[in-house]
Amino acid sequence: MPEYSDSMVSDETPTTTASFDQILPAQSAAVFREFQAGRVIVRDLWDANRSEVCANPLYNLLYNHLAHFRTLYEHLGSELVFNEVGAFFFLKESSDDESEEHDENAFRVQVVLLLIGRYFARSGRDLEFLGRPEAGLNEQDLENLGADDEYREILRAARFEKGMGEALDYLEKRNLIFRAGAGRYFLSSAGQYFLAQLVQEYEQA
Amino acid sequence: MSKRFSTLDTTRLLFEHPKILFRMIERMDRNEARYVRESDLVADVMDYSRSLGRADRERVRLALSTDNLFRTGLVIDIMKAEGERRLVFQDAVINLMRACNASLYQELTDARLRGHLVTLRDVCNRLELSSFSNADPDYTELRDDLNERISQLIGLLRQNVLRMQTISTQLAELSGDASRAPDKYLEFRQNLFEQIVTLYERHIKPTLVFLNPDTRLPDGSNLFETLEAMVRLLERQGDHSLADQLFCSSISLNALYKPIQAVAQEVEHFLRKTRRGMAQYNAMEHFYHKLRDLKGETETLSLRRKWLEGRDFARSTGFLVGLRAQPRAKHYAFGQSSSYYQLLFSELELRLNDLRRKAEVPMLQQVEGSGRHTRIDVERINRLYQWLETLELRPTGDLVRELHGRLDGFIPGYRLPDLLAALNRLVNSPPAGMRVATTNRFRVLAPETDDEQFVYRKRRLYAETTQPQDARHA
Repeated sequence: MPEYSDSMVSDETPTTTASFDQILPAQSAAVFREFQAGRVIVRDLWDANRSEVCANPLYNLLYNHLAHFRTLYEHLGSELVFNEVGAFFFLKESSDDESEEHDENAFRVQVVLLLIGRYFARSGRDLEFLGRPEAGLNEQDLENLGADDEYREILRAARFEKGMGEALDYLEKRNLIFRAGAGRYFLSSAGQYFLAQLVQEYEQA
Repeated sequence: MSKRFSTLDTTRLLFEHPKILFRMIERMDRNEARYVRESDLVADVMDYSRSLGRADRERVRLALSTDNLFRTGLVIDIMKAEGERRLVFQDAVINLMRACNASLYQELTDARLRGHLVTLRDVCNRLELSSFSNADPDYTELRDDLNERISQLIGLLRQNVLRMQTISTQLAELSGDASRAPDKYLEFRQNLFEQIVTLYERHIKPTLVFLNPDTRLPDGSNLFETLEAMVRLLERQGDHSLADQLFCSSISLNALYKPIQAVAQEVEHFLRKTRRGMAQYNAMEHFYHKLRDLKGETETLSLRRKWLEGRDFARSTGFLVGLRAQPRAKHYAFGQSSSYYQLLFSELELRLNDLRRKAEVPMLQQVEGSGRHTRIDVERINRLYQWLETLELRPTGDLVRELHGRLDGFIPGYRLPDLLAALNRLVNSPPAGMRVATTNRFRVLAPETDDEQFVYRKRRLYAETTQPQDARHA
């Protein structure tokens, strides 16, 4: 009945087709490409050329059109997850038969982050400094991390055959860690969130 | 009768060799006792006097013998308890010693401060009942008592402010001393942390409460209220000099509040940070141990566990569960030139021809084991060769791959060793009008069905009429 369908359309605030009109396809495609590559979309990125933190336009796009993107990815078979505290978005595969592979990825990420966090805490520094571009891991830290046998073994058992370098690249490709210069790394807000969550969980346990 | 010393001389000697008493007071504070064990004293004296000259040694040992100390009145009591003799020194001596050594200042505790406050309140009450006349010895004694107590209090508090201010240097030492070994550092930090917590809770905070003019105490007036009451009383009664004195004292006491508050804030901040740092440290260790346990499982004798089994771990923390892998890009060598299409079409044509001849495709029997059925092997190879002869081949840069493509999936029972045989055949007797050239470039063939890989040297098949290109171009 035309009357009914008309009234239904007018009740919905912006209809799905209208929301598509509000977004540049190029930008939406850029977001999709990032997710396809397994990256998380964080609010602040590191601009290596200017050596400063800059805002990520893709994050703002997602934030401003959250409902639209949620629906879009739902239709594509994934779940768009927004983590407000850590200020990042990521795509979660909702199909069950692939869960093993994706859990594996999550696990590998967590292993590397945990090793970094543990090393940092043991060196007497506050974990907050891991997320600061001017602090974080320095050359000496990287050397120590690479030289530690136990860490190397754990990494190898997590399928990082080549050790710490490979593991850091793994995180960097996913926007969990940024390289602030030769031999200097710092965690993105997403990486930092994981460590904060671990501490919180421990305190509440 | 043994030599005796007068009180003055004994005291003088004590102060000439202060180390003995310093050590004693330290021990008393550590054990929170008000007495000294006779055996300890004797041991200390012996220890100390060993390094002295003969005359001095005699003097010290004599002066600090229990007998002498008691007789001169420096030790006011000897108790016998638990099989040992305990000596109680005069307070004046101990306090003087403390004044000479800043590290021996006694912390102000809640109890002690309260004691002072109660005394002041008591004085205030007595003041209300007194005559306020200078001729009355009760009044004059009370007045002197008051003065003494106030000055004592101010002195005590001032000492402690100094002490508290040195804490900040200790805190600086503690924060971020990463050069220590990680295990010792933790222990060290834990100890100092506990010390500072105690200091803060039991000394700094009570002092702050004591000096805060706005504190509401359940059992009476606070310090400033008491002092104010006395000042008013004295002014009303006309004793302005004493009133002024008291007023100045209360201002001095007030002035002590700010520095102590500053120290308190610093300590509080430090404690919060350290608590956080320690929580972080513990959290990291906890989860790291979980990880280590997982790794331990990979090191058991079970051959199936080579990699870390992370699923439960990942799910329990729930971070990024479901994250996509980075796909490895599939490389497609699509071309756009005419020669590309020519090649494509000729390949298609050849394969179509094969399809047309499918009925004639030989069946290669399964080989049971090596060498047992040589007749079957030979037959097999012959069939393959026969097929090869009918195969139409075009010039190609990689003969092995081409052959594999033509044979795989087409001839039932085909295996990689058959490819070897076919290759050999073609190299030795190439098709009419063609030649096979072996290059030094290696390639890998990894069919999906087999676990094996075939590493081979590329072989070019070219028509004899054209000039063979340089091997480098292959």
